[in-house]
Amino acid sequence: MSTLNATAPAAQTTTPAAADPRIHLSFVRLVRSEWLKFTTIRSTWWSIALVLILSVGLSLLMAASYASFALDNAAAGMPQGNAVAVQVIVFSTVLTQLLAVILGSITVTGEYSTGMIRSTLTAAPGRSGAVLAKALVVGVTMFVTSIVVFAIIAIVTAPILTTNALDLSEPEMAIMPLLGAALFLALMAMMGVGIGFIIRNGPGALAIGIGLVFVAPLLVSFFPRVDGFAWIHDLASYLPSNAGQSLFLGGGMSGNALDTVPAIITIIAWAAAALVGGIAVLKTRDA
Amino acid sequence: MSSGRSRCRSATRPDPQDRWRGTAVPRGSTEEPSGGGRADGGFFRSVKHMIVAENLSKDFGAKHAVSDVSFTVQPGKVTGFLGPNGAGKSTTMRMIVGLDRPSKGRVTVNGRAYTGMRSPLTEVGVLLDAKAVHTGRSAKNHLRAMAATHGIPRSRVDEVIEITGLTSVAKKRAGGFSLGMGQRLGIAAALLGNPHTLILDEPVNGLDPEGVMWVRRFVRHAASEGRTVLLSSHLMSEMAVTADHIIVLGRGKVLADAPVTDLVSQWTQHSVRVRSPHASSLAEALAADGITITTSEPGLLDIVGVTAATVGDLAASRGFALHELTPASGTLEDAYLRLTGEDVEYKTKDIA
Repeated sequence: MSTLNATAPAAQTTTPAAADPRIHLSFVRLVRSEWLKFTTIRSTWWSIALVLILSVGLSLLMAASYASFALDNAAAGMPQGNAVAVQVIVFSTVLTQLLAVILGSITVTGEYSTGMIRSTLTAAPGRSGAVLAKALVVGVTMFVTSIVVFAIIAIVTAPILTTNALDLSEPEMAIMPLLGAALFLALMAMMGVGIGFIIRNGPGALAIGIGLVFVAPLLVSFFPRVDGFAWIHDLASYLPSNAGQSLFLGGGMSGNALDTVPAIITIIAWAAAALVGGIAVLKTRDA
Repeated sequence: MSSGRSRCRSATRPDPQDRWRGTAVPRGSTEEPSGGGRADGGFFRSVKHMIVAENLSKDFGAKHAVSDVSFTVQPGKVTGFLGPNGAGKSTTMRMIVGLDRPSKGRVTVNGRAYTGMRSPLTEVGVLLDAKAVHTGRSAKNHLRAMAATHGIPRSRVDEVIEITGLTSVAKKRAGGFSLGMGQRLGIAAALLGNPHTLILDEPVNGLDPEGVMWVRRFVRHAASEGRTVLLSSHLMSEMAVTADHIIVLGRGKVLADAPVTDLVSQWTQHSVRVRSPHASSLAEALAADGITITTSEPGLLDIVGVTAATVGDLAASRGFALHELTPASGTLEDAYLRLTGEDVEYKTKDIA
């Protein structure tokens, strides 16, 4: 089985000088390559399965608890209808935002830990193309996965939520927040790619991810909301998770709620900053 | 000096074409003459398919991994990068393909910097180390992903898998590969674009004897087609049978850059081994300026500075019987040890 083909070199002998002019690098081809790499690694599918299971499970729990208090809520004037449905559906993003960052960063750190990065960069020595292609593949996958997961949750929680189930006749209330949540998760995954290129190792990227999406918003909420600390809360509004939750939950764990446009710009800025940083590091440091 | 071995080696050193007897002969008519004869003219003609390093330097902190190295690697030949561990071979190769940025100087392939190439994989095939593969991905998927970056067809992926003998393990995860299998996968990746230039860092490392033979034949054949082949090794024996031209590196500097035969003749001594019952008388008769005679056992002389003919004639005229008269040329190993003697970074202590 380990026989190197004796006649091999003859087989590979096409005239060395006559390279096929159709064979060359292009961004579209880099995207295709990154897609192949992304889908041929088990951890990708594990991560996506984990997102699915966590999201559906948490939403079912949330739906059940809403259902049990439905009458009291109605009496107390709590939100009804799509507001409940959206909250139930996107509830799990509190956890899956971290999975998104991790998914993004392991596509990079996995290449560094195995040495694959050297193959990637010899095939694409311009480097920035590889970063952007990777970010695009991870981002689009995360977006589509999120939409699919939200749809599944909407369907499985509908019987539990009964009158509070997702009502598509109000797209502004029903669809927009879900699209916003999917966009948020996609951009978090892309930010993860950038962090991966900056940090280059899995545990480090994980620590940064946890710090950014879990610890930072929590730390801020410890500061009393008094004038002296107002600036901390103002700044905290622009943390990625707080900005994201402003977009689809009406407010984050800490900080002030942002309007839709500033929230979207904030999230894009985080992803862009991480990717620009990643490209800068990749371009200047040896691989 | 190990005369017998060296004689044998140079005598059996086969002609490149000879190695290909029995296998398909390179298709001749459509081939470009080695050395590149296209009418590019001027500069590009002069550097066509050559690797040119100019004053290349790489510092890692205070350590000078490569210092002011200049060389050219010609097409149509196998050029060996020879040097002890830490001599800067890998760093230089990494700079050629843009993985490491030179601290000073520059290096081009076919007149261009690798990082600016539109189609790097079809210009340069590179095997840097066996572990440049994601352990969780199958060999085939790894090659498909590499090929996809350039739009290289899937048929070519199957072809390189077959060429390197990976067919039976192509669908297995690369993480479970032995060193030799990983090496084959690296070579397969280097071949994807059917490149004109091949850069192979320690290609025979971890291969079984059959694999070693295959790599040897493969690089000889690639060179005979006019390709530019640069391969590194710290094994002199490997270089002696594979390379036409050798660049010896030591402590980040070029110590020698010459054809193998020149290197051996310049850096080794020719000696004559004589076995005779009259050894001591013969030694006295031969004694002269520029002739050194050493004796390792009674009746055996190793003589440097005189030809076998002279020794034989002298012995005949004096009536000394000779039981052995063997001319010996030095080996590449001798040349290498002399060249790198003081330039070995990680010296071992002699075991007394």
